[in-house]
Amino acid sequence: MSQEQLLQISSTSLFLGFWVYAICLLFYVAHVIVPEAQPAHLEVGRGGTIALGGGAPEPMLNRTRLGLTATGVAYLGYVLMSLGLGMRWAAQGYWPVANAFEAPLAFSWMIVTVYLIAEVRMRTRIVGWATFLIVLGLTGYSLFAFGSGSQVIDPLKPALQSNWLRLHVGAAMVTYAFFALGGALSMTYLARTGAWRKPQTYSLAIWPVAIVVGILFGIYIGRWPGTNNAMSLAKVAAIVAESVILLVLAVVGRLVLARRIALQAGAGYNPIPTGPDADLLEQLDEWSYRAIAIGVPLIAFVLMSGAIWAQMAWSTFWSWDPKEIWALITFIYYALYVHVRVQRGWRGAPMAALGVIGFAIVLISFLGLAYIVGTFQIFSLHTFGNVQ
Amino acid sequence: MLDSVRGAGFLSIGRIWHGLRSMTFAIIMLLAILCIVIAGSFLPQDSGIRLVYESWWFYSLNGLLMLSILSCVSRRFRGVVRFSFHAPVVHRPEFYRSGDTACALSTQVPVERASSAAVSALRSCGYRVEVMHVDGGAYVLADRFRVMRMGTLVSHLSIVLLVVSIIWGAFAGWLDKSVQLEAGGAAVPIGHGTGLLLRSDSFNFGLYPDGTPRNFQDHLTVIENNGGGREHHQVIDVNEPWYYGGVFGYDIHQADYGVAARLIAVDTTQASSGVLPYCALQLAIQQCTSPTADITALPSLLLQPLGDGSYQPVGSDVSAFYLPAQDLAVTLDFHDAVPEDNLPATAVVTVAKPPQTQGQSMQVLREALDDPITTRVFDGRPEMITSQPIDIGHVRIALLIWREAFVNIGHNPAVPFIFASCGLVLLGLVSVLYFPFSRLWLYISSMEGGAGSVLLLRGSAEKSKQGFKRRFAQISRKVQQAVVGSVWQ
Repeated sequence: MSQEQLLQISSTSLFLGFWVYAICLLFYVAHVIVPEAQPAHLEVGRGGTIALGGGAPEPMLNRTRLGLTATGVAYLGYVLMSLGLGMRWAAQGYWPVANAFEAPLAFSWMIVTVYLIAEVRMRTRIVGWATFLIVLGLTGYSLFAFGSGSQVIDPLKPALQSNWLRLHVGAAMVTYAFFALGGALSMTYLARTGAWRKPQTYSLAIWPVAIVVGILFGIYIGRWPGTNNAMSLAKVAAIVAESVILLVLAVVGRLVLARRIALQAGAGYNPIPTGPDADLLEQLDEWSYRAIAIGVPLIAFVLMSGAIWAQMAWSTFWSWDPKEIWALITFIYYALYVHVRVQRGWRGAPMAALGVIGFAIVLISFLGLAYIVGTFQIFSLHTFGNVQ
Repeated sequence: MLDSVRGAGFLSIGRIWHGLRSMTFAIIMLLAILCIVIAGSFLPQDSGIRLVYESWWFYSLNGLLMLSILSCVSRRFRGVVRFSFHAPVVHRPEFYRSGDTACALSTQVPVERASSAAVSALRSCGYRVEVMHVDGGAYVLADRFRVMRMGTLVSHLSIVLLVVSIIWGAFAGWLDKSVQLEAGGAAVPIGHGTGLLLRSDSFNFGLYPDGTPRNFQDHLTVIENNGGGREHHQVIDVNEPWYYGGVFGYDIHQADYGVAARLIAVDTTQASSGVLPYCALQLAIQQCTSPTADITALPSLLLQPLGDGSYQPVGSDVSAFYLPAQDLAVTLDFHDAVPEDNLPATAVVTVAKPPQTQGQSMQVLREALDDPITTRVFDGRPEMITSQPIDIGHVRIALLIWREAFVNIGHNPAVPFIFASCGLVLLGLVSVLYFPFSRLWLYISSMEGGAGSVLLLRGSAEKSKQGFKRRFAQISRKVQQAVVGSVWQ
């Protein structure tokens, strides 16, 4: 089979797979929306007559059938995507993870792989809607923003011709897939509890954002007198101003955070969800943590393998490249997540919010970086080449 | 401890140490570093590194985090070691009744038989079991992955080791980027007191059809003792550096490549193609008393290969020399392409006779405009490609194109320690997060006034509490079945 034929089959399978995923998402949404059918029960009537009652006639598309159909369609889409990526691999001779067209597709493929295994282990399909929302977004971004890339093969750059490509990028895909599953479970938690509508769920995020903005502000003040190394009165004043801003932010952040932590972990906070969904919510909370806990050593491995590869290819294990920085940010963030969970005993909605924010960081690290680099005119060795 | 801290002054060492040991402080440090790292990522890389990542306050925060980690580890060290290796088996009876995961069972089975049945059941669940018999009662301690608890200490201490190694490497190591080596040219000293010279014997590169590089083959030679010692040879590529002297020696990495154009003058009547002696034109012609024939010292310009065998000049520049024997001045003028104005790249070669008397102007003998720069083998040397040569009498002016390899040469003795620390961090995280430790305590005592026994079972897990609850229910059922079943054995 010629390279063009392989690419044609790959492209058709990928686009078809996208639309199958779209149908799959509809079924998963329906599975969550449609109420559980009331089971029939025995009613004792007047005069001691016993009748079968209460249960409405079972509709054709009940919740269980919708869920089973969704899973079936998901497997079909998965097979199509696997075929599409496999054919592309065969056509170009290396893993399809090397540019802006291939990487999101490979990432979404890995998310579906992890999800389908998790679905069997969790014995529930209520997370499918969130997972396939993410998957559809990623595949749609790749196929419609870089659609022409499906017919083009980028030559593999010398630095990428290494076994470390498979090890480092493969590990990154698995890691981010687990974080995506953690994010999907957290989204489901927030949706089922209604916590996503409450601003206090996200209030924790205000302070880190304020600190980031404050630091940027401080840095720009610091830059204003000039970026040369010569000291001047203006520069000293700027550094002092910068330090004061940081100090104030640190003190305010510390006070507010300590209060918040005390509130969340104190007697007034009940980490165990209550109500009819309590067991399910507790399981969602637990699974979300487990998915993320699997990802944490993996992101450490991604950083380590990347450092070894960079040392071999670029002669330095760390160069403060934006991609390296955002991988570090992801690691620090999830290290924080694990610490507040294990050491502070956080549970429930705040952890779910942290899980969603974490996945947002993963998305920035994986896809958004290309836009940050472009917008802020930052040099990066890691940005995937935009296919023509 | 708390009292002593309260009694101390606001900035006493005890109070500071106590603050450093708190988890809240560690979380705040992590959060602060996270925010700063995010902020720095929005700045241009050089500004971000200079203004944020290499600033005194970022170093200070990292230092505080390291102190926080060390103080947290010191606080937990004894507890974790005790948990892992010296956990007490015997507790007071109230201990077994407390906690979220605890249950009680009474049975007609005597203590001895009940304890042996329970121990078997716990072992079959994958638990390591210790038993002590005290005052007619049996105390059982069962645990899984207890040593994995040490992973917390390993991962945190390894982070400190990693940072220390990085700091050591920053002081003890060096990295020279983009050292230029001319293929087949002279050896260049590596410097830094190594006494080593580095030479590129030949440099080949493959290109994809679109002109982007596919691979490199840089045949390098290291000469010891400032050029007077042994020679060592190695071929390097982008992902295949040369670790000269092992992991603690010197790393030579293929970094970049280039093609340099040089203008040469040769005598066509001579059999050999030696370069005619010349002087660089920036010297006053009258001072050209010792002309050189060193081809590698000629002024050169970088060219960008286009992938189809042709080359594009990079930037606009002029190189020139003077031939004293022939009294000729030769200039090579490159002009980069201007796509907006549809102007192609050009290479202009001018041969002129310098003014002989004051007031006389330069006499241009020949001017050639090469567009595009052509490629051909020069004098049977396949690595040399020339434009159309210009002949002035017996003097042939030609354009030579040389290959340039750019290598990074570095020495960082801390690198093995840095990667070993990373490995230990990974090991610690895997042991803690993939092997969740759990512990069960069982107390079996004689039933008051009867022949049976009472079993009190308590469990504890630091992570995955909900999963452990389910597991605890399964284990307690299994213990119950084993103890009750032991009646019939």
